[in-house]
Amino acid sequence: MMIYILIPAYNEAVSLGGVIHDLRRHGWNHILVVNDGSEDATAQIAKTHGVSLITLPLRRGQGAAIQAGLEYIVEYYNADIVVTFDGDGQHSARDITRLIHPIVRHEADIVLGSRFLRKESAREVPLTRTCLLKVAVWFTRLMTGLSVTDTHNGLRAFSRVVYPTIVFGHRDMVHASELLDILKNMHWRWCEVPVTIRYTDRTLHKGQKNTDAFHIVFRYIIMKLLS
Amino acid sequence: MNIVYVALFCFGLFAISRAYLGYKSHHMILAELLFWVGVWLAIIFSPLFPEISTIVTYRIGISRGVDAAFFLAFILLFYLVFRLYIKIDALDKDVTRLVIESAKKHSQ
Repeated sequence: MMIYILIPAYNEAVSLGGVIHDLRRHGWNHILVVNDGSEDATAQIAKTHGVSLITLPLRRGQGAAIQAGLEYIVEYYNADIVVTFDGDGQHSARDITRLIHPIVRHEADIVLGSRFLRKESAREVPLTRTCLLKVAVWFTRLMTGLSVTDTHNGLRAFSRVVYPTIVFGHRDMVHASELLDILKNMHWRWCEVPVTIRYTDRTLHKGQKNTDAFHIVFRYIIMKLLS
Repeated sequence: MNIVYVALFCFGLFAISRAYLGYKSHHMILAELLFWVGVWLAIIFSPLFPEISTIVTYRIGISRGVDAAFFLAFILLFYLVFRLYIKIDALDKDVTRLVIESAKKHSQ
């Protein structure tokens, strides 16, 4: 069974090498890095480590990077499962086995990582981020009716049934909300599994800002109005 | 006829000519041309017949013609901003698609 790890990466030269090393140490050797128009040495790091690489000539956002990666995997590798994995070192390669398990057992088409399913993981989430994510969960439940416990978690697994059909309309972080909409409309089987998110000063500084939530909500509402 | 009206008249004619050129160069469909010509003709001629505009605005619940003009201008601007938003969004999607196709083509 071919499992591809898709890493959307923007200016991740500092952490990308460690992430690739960690993935390989856990036996995940099929890795595709989508360099999202980085201004640092992200592409060189990926090349040095000998992983597959595609480079977007302009920064288009995480949604576009994942879209490019999924299309590339469909065209060239035809993997059985695709796992999206952040390049900033927030995710743990150890969680991937648990993440793909429901797909391997044909119990789900898409598996979402959740940092709130395990108390120890939930405690590590900074308070302001917890509050914001809880509001996002409530908003998502209201809009989609899906009883998710976490939203905007980049650690996800897609089966061969679903990933070739995904077309994101949004190139930025709104794609994560859009994915839940697609998931509901397509009646895919889904589940959540507990995953650990490692927060560091760098990931908190570089990752999504708390104020991005307003932008995501605004874009999401516009998307719903126009669809 | 004051200078403000002359300026408004000239600008209205200019706007109509731009709309017509847009239609001729296929950037606008006939319905859009008729809409914009109607809007600018109304703007040009309403100061010449203030009693008509007052009757019309009174019937739609606004007592003064000038208030109706501001009200309509606000709606029109809102509509234009929304149209611009849609157009920019469509352009943004086109750029993203081009970037993705280029990246796949030149991948290593």
